[in-house]
Amino acid sequence: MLMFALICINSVNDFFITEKFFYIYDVLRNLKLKFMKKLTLVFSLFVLSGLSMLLAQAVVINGTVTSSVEGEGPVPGVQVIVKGTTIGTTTDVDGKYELTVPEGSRTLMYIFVGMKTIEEDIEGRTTINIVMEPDVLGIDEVIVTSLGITRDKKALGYAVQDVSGEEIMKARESNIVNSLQGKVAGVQITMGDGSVSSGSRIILRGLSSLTVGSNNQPLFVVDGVPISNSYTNVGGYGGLDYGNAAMDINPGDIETLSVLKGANAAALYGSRAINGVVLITTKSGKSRAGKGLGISLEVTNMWDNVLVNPDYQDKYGQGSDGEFWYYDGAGGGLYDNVDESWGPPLDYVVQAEDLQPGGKLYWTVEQGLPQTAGQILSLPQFDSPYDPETDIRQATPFISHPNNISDDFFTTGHKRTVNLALSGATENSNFRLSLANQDISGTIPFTDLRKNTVQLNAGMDVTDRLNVSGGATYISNVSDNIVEGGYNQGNPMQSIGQWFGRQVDVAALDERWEEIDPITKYPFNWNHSYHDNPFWLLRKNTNSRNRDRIIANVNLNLDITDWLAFRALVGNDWYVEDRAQRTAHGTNGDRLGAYGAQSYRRNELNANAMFSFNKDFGEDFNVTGTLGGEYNHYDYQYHATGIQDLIVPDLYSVSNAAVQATTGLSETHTELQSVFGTVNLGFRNYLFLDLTGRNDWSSTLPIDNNSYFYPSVSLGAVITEALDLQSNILSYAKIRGSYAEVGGTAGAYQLLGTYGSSNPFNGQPRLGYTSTIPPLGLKPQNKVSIEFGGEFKFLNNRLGVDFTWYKENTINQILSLEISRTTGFSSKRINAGNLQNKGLEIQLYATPVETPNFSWDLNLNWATNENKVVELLIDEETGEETLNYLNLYNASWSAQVHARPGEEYGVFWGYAMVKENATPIYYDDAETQLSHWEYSGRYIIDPDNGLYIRSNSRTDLGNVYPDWFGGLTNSFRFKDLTASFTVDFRKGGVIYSVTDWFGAYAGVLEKTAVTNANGVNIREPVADGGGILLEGVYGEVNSDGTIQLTDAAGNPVNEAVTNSTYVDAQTYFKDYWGKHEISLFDGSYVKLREVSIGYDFRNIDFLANLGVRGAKLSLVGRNLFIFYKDTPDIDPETGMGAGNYVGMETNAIPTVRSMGFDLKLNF
Amino acid sequence: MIYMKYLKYIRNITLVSLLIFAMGSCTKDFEEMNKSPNSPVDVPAINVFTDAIYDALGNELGGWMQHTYVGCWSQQWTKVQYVDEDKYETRDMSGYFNGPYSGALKNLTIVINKATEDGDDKLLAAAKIMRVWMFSYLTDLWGDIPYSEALQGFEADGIIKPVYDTQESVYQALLTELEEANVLLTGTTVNFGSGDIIYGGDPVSWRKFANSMKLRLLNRTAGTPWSFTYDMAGTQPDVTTTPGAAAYASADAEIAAILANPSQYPVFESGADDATLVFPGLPYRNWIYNTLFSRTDQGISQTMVNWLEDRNDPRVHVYAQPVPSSYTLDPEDFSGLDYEGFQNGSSELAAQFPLVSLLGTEVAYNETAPVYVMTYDEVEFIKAEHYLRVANDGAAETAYTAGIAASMARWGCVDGGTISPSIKVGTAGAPLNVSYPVDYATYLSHPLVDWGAAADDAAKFQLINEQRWASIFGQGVQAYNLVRRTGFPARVFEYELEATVYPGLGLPIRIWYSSSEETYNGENLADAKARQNIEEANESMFSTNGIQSQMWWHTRKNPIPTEKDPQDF
Repeated sequence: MLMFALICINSVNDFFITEKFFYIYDVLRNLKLKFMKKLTLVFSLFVLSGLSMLLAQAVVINGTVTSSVEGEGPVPGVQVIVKGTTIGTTTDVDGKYELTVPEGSRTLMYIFVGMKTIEEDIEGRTTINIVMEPDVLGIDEVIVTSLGITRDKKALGYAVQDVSGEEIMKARESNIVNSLQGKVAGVQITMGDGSVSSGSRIILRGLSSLTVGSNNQPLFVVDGVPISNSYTNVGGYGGLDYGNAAMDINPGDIETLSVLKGANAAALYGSRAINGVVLITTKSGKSRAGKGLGISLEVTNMWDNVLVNPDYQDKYGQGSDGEFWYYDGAGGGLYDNVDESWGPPLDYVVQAEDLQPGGKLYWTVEQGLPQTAGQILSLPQFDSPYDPETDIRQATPFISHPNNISDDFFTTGHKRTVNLALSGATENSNFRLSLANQDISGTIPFTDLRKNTVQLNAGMDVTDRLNVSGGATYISNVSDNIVEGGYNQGNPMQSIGQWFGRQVDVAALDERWEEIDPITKYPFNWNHSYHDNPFWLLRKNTNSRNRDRIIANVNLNLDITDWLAFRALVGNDWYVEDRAQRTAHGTNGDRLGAYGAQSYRRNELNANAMFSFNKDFGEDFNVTGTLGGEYNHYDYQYHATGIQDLIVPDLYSVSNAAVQATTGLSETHTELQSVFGTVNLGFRNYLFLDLTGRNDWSSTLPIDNNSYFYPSVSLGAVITEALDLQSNILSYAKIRGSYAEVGGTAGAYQLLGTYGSSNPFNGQPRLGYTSTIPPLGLKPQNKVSIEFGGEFKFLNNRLGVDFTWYKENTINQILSLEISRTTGFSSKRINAGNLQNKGLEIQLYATPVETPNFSWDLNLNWATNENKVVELLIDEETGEETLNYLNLYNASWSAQVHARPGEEYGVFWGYAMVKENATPIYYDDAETQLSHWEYSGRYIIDPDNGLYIRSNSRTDLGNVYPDWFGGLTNSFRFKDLTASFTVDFRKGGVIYSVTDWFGAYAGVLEKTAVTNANGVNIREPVADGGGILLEGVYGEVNSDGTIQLTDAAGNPVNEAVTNSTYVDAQTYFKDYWGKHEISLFDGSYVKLREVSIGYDFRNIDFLANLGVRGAKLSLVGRNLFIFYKDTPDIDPETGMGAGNYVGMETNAIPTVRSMGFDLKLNF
Repeated sequence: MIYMKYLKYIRNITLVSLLIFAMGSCTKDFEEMNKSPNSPVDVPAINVFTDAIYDALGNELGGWMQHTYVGCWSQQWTKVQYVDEDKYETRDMSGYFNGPYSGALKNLTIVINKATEDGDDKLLAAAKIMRVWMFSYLTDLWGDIPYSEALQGFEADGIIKPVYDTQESVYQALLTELEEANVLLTGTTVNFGSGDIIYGGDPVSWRKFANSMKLRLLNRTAGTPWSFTYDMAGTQPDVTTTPGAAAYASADAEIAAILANPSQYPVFESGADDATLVFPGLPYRNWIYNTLFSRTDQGISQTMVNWLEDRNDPRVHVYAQPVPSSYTLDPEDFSGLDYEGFQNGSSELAAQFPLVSLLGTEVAYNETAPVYVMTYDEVEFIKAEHYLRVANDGAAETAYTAGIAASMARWGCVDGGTISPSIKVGTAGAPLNVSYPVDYATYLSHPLVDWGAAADDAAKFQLINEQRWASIFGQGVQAYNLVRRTGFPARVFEYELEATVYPGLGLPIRIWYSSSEETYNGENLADAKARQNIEEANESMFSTNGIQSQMWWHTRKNPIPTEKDPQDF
């Protein structure tokens, strides 16, 4: 079976690779010619019964429609329609119908107001009896909650939101975290950059931890097994992002995904669920009971291009002060090592007067580079012909190459996904086998990702009372090359995207990448001081990642009596990940090359067992509950080898190192043991009380403090039922409230101080003591959460709203708090801090139109979160706060992000430009300790030079977290055509853009060469009408920090004098250095996140003859358009990996827009 | 029958449940499980000493403080591109203050504690000496620093907000520690371990190092009892400074006591005693090589090149590479060979590399080049300055001459020999096919070097200290201390940098304090700043009244800079 499926995938693959665009016909032909032969063979071998369906003739179908509501019986007046046609009938008073269905008909629809519409595949049956359910969302909605317990949503006292697998698949994202964008209220997703493997970050209800090293992301649980979502916590300057491990999950295997947002929902998962839980249930074969074998094949092809490209100027080339000529790209010519574009004009026709002393181009004459009047300025350039005899590089026209980044560098990315699933069920057993293959190539050339997953789920009723089920998933996730992000030489956006000569012909870099520069003897490039040819770099200096993973679970369910059951589950998540970074001979800064390889082994075993009971007491009371225990063991091992200076190029092995290899090895083992219990009391099916309790024992806490208990209580009341209020206007109303605590443990090995080693110096070992003072009497941390919510439905459920207000405090956090380094240590590990998240989540849904042929649904979600630092470190004696702030992390170039007591978490702290009103802000009421200056009014301009004046010290420039965010999805269905559009949005949250900062500094951005109010390019000399006039008033900063207004001559004045001093463009943009405010932008956006238009092909003979029961073709688009943003040149959503370093963008790989189509076939 | 079935179920369930609930009691191995399998909790002291030495030396001689800040501000080196820092536009400098405490000083304290426990006096003394060296780096750049209450993080209730001790008290404590080390090392010659990567465990050398460092510290506090006139452009009449009294009154007496008793206080007697760190090559390459082999950010200062060329000083061939444009045309014709330093703090974006000299290949493009911690020639210059102050002109001249000779020899300029310029080819040096004679007598008789030609003691003071400044090439922190204290070479002061971002404030008089100290030790820092008259403006590197907040040992008032185009010099 496996072999068969692999063959299928391969044959399909081959075809798609060669025929990208007109592949539908090919697919079908291919299916018919190759695939179907095998398929038919399989069918005949395994499911002979399935064949009968292929031979279906025109038939008469009859049946009865009844209501699921007790006592309601048959439903008359139900429309029964052959889907996609006008053929139909209605049920009679007894709920019976009879309908002649044309040959090839696949599906019947049963429609009745107030009941859920049902679509039922005919599948060769002649009698189809239907049970229709009242369409009261929420009332009978069941939802998967903690420990995989399925419960009525109405019985829950806390907010849970689920997303169907179908909804997740719509996104066609390879990373399921991104699939949730805009879909779930209060779930904040930060995408990584646009590289194929970048990680995405998911945060529920704000950050709960004060330290950036901590994981603030929810626990991922798949079929009861907690799995790793480890991610690269890319630091302040960016780096290699290996993604987040949850991206391994194949979206096509997901049946449902529930987001348990609060501590309340997650209380039963214990410590690890302190940030909430994303609960995933994968598909099984159960739904096919009685229907034989089902096969589905889904193929998606998506093409990616860059969503936001910086706007570059094409008027001036490389150099400085208007001068440049190339010799060796390393300073041998004139400014030919300067990787900036402040050089001569491009496409400039030389004028005779330019060549006179004092003329614009007289410097070329002085440099022995005579020009010809009337011709385009010609200079020796990196790609000019070179004569080794004379050592002369011929001058060639200094011309622009517009779009040399967008067209010549970026390529069209492609993502192909094939999902094949086989499922089947008998009365007492079921299975589902799925295979998925994904092949992605990035918009950055020579980057890729390939993912293969095989999943088998199976279950069996061994006896009436005993059910055994299990699942195993194998995942292979391979990237041959991941592009480096952030401020690093390996990131092309740092070189050609920013520190660049705009005249450079990027196509030449591509075409001639294998050449060696005749002068420097280094690989052909435009610069030999700082940069590598990006095409050479991406081919040669690859960063690979290969993860093999197996996630497995075994479940046992035993019904002991009709009210008592026992369940045991053992799950395991294992992976090995290998990473390697190659640095080839000739790399700038590492001309002899290097190699690093790391291997990570991770295993997490989870076992739990519990008794559960469910008993009614009289008419009014129902009691359910559980009592159980859990065991969690975690092992981790890390190996690393690094070599420098390769003897022979391109051989990456330890034996090829000129210098002794460095190695590393470390391991971690932790264990968590728990006992838990729950009691759920239901009264008359409208009032529900839940109590839970859990005790954990953690191996990582001090032995006498390692046990901790935490409870939760919640109450839900369905008011409409309790007070019998149900009407056509108010269909359903429920209120809920809860209180919960979750305990949290520490990381491994934090209790004792240890020595770390560095490479031996000349054979002498080097050992240094830890820089964190080990804790004394460490206690578990704790999260306390309260939430209230309500759910209301109106107008026969056509309109609904669900809202939740919550407040969560994480206290006694285990953190390593920075202390004065003069103690000999940089931090001290203690219990401290109180971080509060308070917010509101609203979900609104409506069905404005619903007719048999057309329906329109909309779903709006919106959330706001206030993440407040209540306290950092309280002095036990005085009860006063002892810290003014906590530096969370150093952002780029002296900017910091702070947690300040009494303020919202995530204050961006950097240098501002001073304005006319300066107000000192103090830490203390006595006003002795200055925190910062707050500036308002117009900018102060320095009368000496017409420039902004940087603040003397750093100041509060805003908060990096958004004020509110959400998404709106509109879904339409017209007969067999469905369409949905998701728009998502975010308000607020500052982002500091290094792309803007250095892009301006280096003179590559369009704004560095625009026309000023005089109609002259700002790059022209100020004397000739060029330069920049900044808006502001003259002034200076007094030594006490206050502002003194001045006139243009610098004399103190009382009345502000408007700036009229022009400043030279190069001087102005160079002055960006150190002024964070100038490149700080509002991170708000409104995006067209997702568009999906699909058509269900039914009743099509051609397909039926091929054995295709159903086919759906969809056109899909992701991240199509940004309606609104404030950030120039970048996508404001660009994050730095999946870690906690938010609020800055450092040469991000541009995010991508994806478009493509998807074909799903059911056999 | 049916009951039998249930009984079986119940038995099985009980067994499984027992297994599960038994877990709660098998947590006793948790303590063992939580012991790190990766890192030791105790190690031999000598291995910590190795780490601490490397770390300590790197702070002063290896990082940005040397190659980008004070190494350039003292105008030995210069930035030839990305010149912002050379215009006193600094990045956050907290790390240079913080690093030594949480690195070298902490580990040296561990070595001291362990050596005390082990009764290893030699290692104890060596660790003390190294710690003095590190504290000296701190106090000489910042002034008041935590000392007496510092480094208590080991203790359960140790002080986590140490007070800042005055620079004066720190100096006194450091002198005492050096004395203690000298005593501990008396009479011992047995090697204490090759983990000592400076002297290979030789206690005799450490003793000399301790006493030589004592000379350095004492001399720094001994005052400058002369007035000097500076040729400041735009200021008429020229600026004359007042003499500076000794900050530490008995400095010269203590120096005299050391020099008078070599058996009790042995000091460096030849270049063989020099404290150096010799790099073995990858993964430990010479620090400046490690910076420059891939990029060319540092070159040699115009001030240094001009000074050397004015004196026909052969060391120019070692410190710098010739200007490429002066030898590339004809590979055999070196008649036009020329050196041109790049101006510190230039308003130009970057130097034009064909037109400037880069750092010498033996200094900066040799991965195993040593770095100098303290050398014999410096001791001779200290002696010369001391003898000058105590009016022993003959001894001063002898020491001055010996200092020059030792420096020349250390830099490969051997009397009667020759020296060849060398240029960087690839990442290593290659000598040019030309050599120049080295003759000490000729050099010593040059009008700008000649002791006898100096008009007065003030001029001799200038001779000594400019020679010392030139000699300690690459020891930027020491050069910066020297330049601030002595005011020489005057070119550093006599004009304002073309493109300083702090016009009118001249040379920074100190490094700004750590921003993390503001946060985590704010009150004590505020006290220290108030005590030293440090204003908040300008990153505290300057003061609007800079003289007030200068170092304690910096008792002479330096001239106020004036606007002047450096090209005039």
